[in-house]
Order: sequence, then structure tokens, then C-alpha cells
Amino acid sequence: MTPKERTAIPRLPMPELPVSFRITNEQEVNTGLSLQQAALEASRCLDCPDPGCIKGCPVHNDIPGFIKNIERRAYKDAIKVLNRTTVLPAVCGRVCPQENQCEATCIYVKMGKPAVAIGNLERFAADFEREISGIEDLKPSIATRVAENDNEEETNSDQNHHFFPIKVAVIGSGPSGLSFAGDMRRRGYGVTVFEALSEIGGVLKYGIPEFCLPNFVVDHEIEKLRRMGVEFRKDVFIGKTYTFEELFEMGYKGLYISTGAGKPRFMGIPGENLPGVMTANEYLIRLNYATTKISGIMTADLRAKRVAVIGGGNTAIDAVRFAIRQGAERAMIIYRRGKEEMPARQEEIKHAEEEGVEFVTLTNPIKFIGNDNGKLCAMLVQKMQLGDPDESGRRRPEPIDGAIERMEVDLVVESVGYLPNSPIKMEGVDLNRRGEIIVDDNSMRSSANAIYAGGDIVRGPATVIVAMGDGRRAAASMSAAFEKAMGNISL
Amino acid sequence: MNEIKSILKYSPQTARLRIQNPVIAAKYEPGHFVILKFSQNDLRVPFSIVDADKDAGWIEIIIHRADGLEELLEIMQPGESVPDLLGPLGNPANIDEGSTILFFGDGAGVVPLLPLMRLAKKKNCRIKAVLSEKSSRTKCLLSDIDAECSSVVTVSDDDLLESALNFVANEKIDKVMMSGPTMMMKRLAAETKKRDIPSECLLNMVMIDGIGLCGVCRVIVAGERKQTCTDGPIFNAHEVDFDQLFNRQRLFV
Repeated sequence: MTPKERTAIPRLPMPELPVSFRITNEQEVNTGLSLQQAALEASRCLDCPDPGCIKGCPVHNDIPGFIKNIERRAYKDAIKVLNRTTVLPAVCGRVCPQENQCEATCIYVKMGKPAVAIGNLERFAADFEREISGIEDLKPSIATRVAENDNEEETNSDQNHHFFPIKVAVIGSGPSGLSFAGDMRRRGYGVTVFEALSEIGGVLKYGIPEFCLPNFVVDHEIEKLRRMGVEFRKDVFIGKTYTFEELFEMGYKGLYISTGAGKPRFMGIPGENLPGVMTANEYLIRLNYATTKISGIMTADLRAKRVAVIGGGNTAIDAVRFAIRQGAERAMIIYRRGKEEMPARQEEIKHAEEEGVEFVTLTNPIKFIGNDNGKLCAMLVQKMQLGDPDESGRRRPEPIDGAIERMEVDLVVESVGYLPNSPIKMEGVDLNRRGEIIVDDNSMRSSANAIYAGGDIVRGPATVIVAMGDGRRAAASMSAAFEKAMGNISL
Repeated sequence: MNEIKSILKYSPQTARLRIQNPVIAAKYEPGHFVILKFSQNDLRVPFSIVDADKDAGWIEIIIHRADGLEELLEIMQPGESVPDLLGPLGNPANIDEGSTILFFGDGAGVVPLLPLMRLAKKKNCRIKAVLSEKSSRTKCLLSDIDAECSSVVTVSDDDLLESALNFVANEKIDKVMMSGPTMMMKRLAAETKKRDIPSECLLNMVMIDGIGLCGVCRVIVAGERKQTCTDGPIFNAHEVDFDQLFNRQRLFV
């Protein structure tokens, strides 16, 4: 195929469930590329000599490497290429903002054409592996057999890679912690991941809804890590159940703190504590974990008629799309800037629009109003206009004098940002004034010996893939430090 | 881990569970609570730890039918395990050696007072207690409380507050520790504030994650937003905005 023929192929859209069906349930909206579609999309990639996409990827996946394997229909080789740099390809292929990362630096963008659908292809490769492996059914025999037939050499090196009698602890089982755990395990270290919640996966489980990222996809990635020998312990709140000192006493030689930023920010306006005003975390955790019985509140109370979600990030869009699925008559995004300034992924915004979400932009709530029973019934909003750009480069929203309106609402979901999950009693670990852990940018080492940190606990709310990049860097520098120390011991 | 060692049934409504978890038992201090799930599909529910044995490695909680656990109370057997148990959460209580403390409890609020009274006894405090007679929990725990501390007074719900105020007016009380219905705590706190008696309330809130993520247990203390799970469960009763708390709690009944 000539480059001209390749560039003549249009980008394939991601197949998805029809809108009228998907708003009735929580099934994943994107259904994934078929074998033929994937091979065709892969043939668009020009295999550039100096690929920009790799630089645009925070974990530096060998993107042309895996894509060309898909084009050759060597699907297992494609996933092997990805496995070298990422432990969550099925997750990243779904939730990464590729348009700002790998796809933003694709050569096609310079040619004025849509980028190669790198995310969709990554998801394809990972889904292919999962579907043929049978691991999701937790049938060890099949999975082992597939792995063995696959490549005996690599399987053995995976299993017997425990070179060093050194174990490390990971605090928090979100994307950053999992990435670190995978890399350290591959290097031969013993790894235990501690999670405070009852599900492994952190924000991938409690935060991101099923219709964006199904739980079985996350569980499969975790199962792969478990098979590599990573140990997982749930219901352990480090700082409470065990102190940091105790982890060292238990024999862990290094700690990686990846506790994330999940503490909700509040708007701080009157009426915020009325029943009917909740954080996006509360709303999403209730719905994501919703089963028959829910502590203190029934799901029916979450089925409000008029739902206003405050904010313009991915979490806000997730929440408002959940409201649609709960049967809301009006599901609104209330955002103080314009739609173009929203930090949410384009695909999420597109899906939300298709599903009937109203975008009420340039609008900022200033007061929540309760009815005679003390329950939320309305809110006052200040209409805004855009002024000069602020430090984020986006145009600053400014109130329009006197432009205050009343909106009738039954449920308000605040999604206006997150603060670091305050770690408890860590001697010698310096924090900045926002409560984030200060680390060296290259090594991810904190001010304390053998304590490294990464992900949202270091940089504030960011993306899954950025958090994973931190995990990889921390693993590289922590293992280098151990190996240097070991080199100094004469046997 | 998390095996139910024994179930002491006080009544068809109320039972005391002893759960094996040496890690939590070793860390336990009065005031702490745990969050647990009784079955895989439930959300987690918080319970005060009422007792623990570091050497034997168990903790005890008290569960009640009103917690939505009717069925469970009937079918649960020793030897079974709870699938998820997280703790110890919250901050320990602070009780001064040799002080005089008035405990005030009603309804479900009586339960978390038991370990605080035990701590007070250990610290050689003079213990006064006003507990509602109608509360089924009081009836269940009365013998435990009698064994743990001296001069317990129980009265009927009608003059619960009045009895507490009698103590406050007639005796030298160093601190009041209260746990009960929000509006009752509000009235008692207002009275003790007038008399300048340090007062603490132990809040019993709905929680989802228990580690500060959801904000559902938020409460305004001294004008600031606090989370009961990570900042509590004990707060200065003179600083808690009880009206706002009361309004939020109505959502969950």
C-alpha cells in the first residue's frame, strides 16, 4: 500500500449503541472495532520514522509498533507491544483523552485530516486479548494454556522474574498504583497493593461509570497483574489500619503513594447542605455500587426529574449521563464558561449531547433554595460572559451585572474539582499548601527516604494515563536506587 | 479474617457481634468506628467499635434492626465471615484523667457511649450518665454499663433533658459527652454553653465510603465544613450547626 492510498482512507468512526437503546441501561456505549475495521484503520498509520504519537503518550507506548501488528493481523503481537509499557491498555483505550495526547501529535493532524484512531486501536488490541484469553471467566487452565502456547520464553520470564528478595508496597489501587505495581513486578520485586475501599481499581471502579468503562474490563487488567504475582489487599486504610512506619517494619523496603485526589471540592455557596445537593462522588458511588439495598437512602431518591450537574469535566459529564439513564426529564450541565472551554473529553460531550443532555453554559449557581420541607427545589444562577484569558489560558468568566435567574431543580450534583486525599501521619513527607505530596519531577521521590508518590496525589486531578506515566517513572527510579544499593554490597 | 466469633442477642432487635480482626483490634481506641459490609452486594455501613481485645484479636459492634438488618439478625451464625471490614476509622476520644463527665445518650446514640464510659472509668473519672429508659439500646446495654461505670441514671424520655440539666446545674461537671437525636443535643448544648461547660457530641451519620470521598457525612462546625468520617465522629457540641445537620438527616429516614 502506498502512503497515498493509506491517507486516502477515512478515519473509521467508533461503532456505538443506538441512543434510544443506550439511555435505558448502563451498557457500554462504544462497542469496539471489528477485526476488519481495526485492520483498515491500522493501515492508515504511516509508520512515521520519528513518530510524534509516542512522545505524546505519557507512558510512551510504541504506537506504530502495535498498530502495524494489527494491520498485519498479528493481534497477539500487538498486545505484546503494548504490554511492554502499559498495564491498562483496555482502560486507556477507553478513557484517555487521546485528542490531547497521542492523536494530537499524529502526522495526519498536520495534514489537516483526522488522526489515526490510536485509542480505538489500543482498545481493540486489549479487548482481543481478553476475549481470546478467557481470563475474565477466571479459568486459570485456559488462560495459562493460551499464555504458554503464545510464547514460552516470555511466559517463563514473567513467572520467574522474582530476582530480588525485596518487596515494595503500593498505597492506592488506582491507575498510577497499578502501573507502578506492574513495572516493579516485571523488574523482579515483590509487590503488595493496598486499597482502602472494598474494590480494587480506585477511581476506575467507584468513579467511572459502567457505560464508559465496564468493570469486567478493569477486573481483567487487575487479574493479569495478579497472575504476574502482584498481591492485592483491600479494606486497608494506610495511616489507620497500618501506619507508614509499620509498612517498613513489615519488610517493605519502598513505598509508592498513589492515593489520588478524590476529596470533593464544594462551591461554598448558601444552601449547599440542603438535602438534594450532593457531590459527584456521592452520586456516582451510589449509582456505581447501587444494588438492592443502599445505606440510608433508596435509589428512588436519586431518580430526580430535574437534575443539574455543576461543572464541565469528565466527572460532570459522567454524572449527567447517569442522570439521563435514571430517567431524568431534564438533565443539565451547568458550566460557568462556554462549551469550548469544557475540560471534558470531546467524545463524552458528544455522547452526552446525543443522549439529550442540556448544556447551560456561561451560568454559575450562586444559591440553592429549599422548599417548605427543607429540601432543594430551585437554585439562583448568575449569567456569565467571557473576559480576558486567565492563567489556564481559557477566557475568564465574569458575571453579567444583574443577570440572575431562578432555575427549578430537584437534584444538584456538584462536580467542581477535587482535592488530594489527605494521607495520614507521614513523618518527613513534605506537602505543598494544597496538600499534595512534593516529589522530584524526574524520580518521583518524596522528601522522605524510600517513599515515592505519583498520580493525582502529586499533581492534582489529571488523567488516568498521566497517573500511569508517574507510576512508570517512579518504578524506574525506585528500582534503579535499589539496584545501585545492591551493587554496593559485596557478596 | 473477619470471622464472627460470637453473637450475643440482647433482644430480637439488638445483638452484639464479636468479629475477629487482630489488626483493627490492635489499633483500637475508644471513639473509633469500622465500616463493614455484611454481604457482597451491600453498601458499607459504619458501626462504633464498642469493645476490643488486642490479645485475642477481636472487636465488638452492636447491630440493631433499625439499621435495616432485620433479616440478617435472624440468619447470621457464628463462624461466618463478613466480606469487608475497614478500620479503625475516625479519631479517638479525649478524656482527662480524674475529671467528672456527664454522659447523655438516647436511642442509637447510647451504643457509642459505652466505650467512652469504659475509658472514663479507666481514667479514674467520676461518671454521671443520663440515658433514655425507652431506648431499647439502653435496656440491652444497661448491665454492661452498670458493670463499666458508677452512678448511672436512667430516666424516661420525657424529662431526659431536664435530668441532664439538673446535673449540670447542681454538680461540678468538667465535660458533657452526648450522643443522641440531633435536636436534643442542640438543646443540651445550648444549655451547657450558657454555663460554659465543655461539651462534645458524637455524631452518628450515614456514610458511603468512610474515607472522605463522598461528602455525605458533612457537617458545619464553627462555620467550617467537616466530614464526620475523617474529622469526627466527636465534635465540639458548642460549634456544631445542629439545625443544618437536622435538615440533612431527615433525608435519610
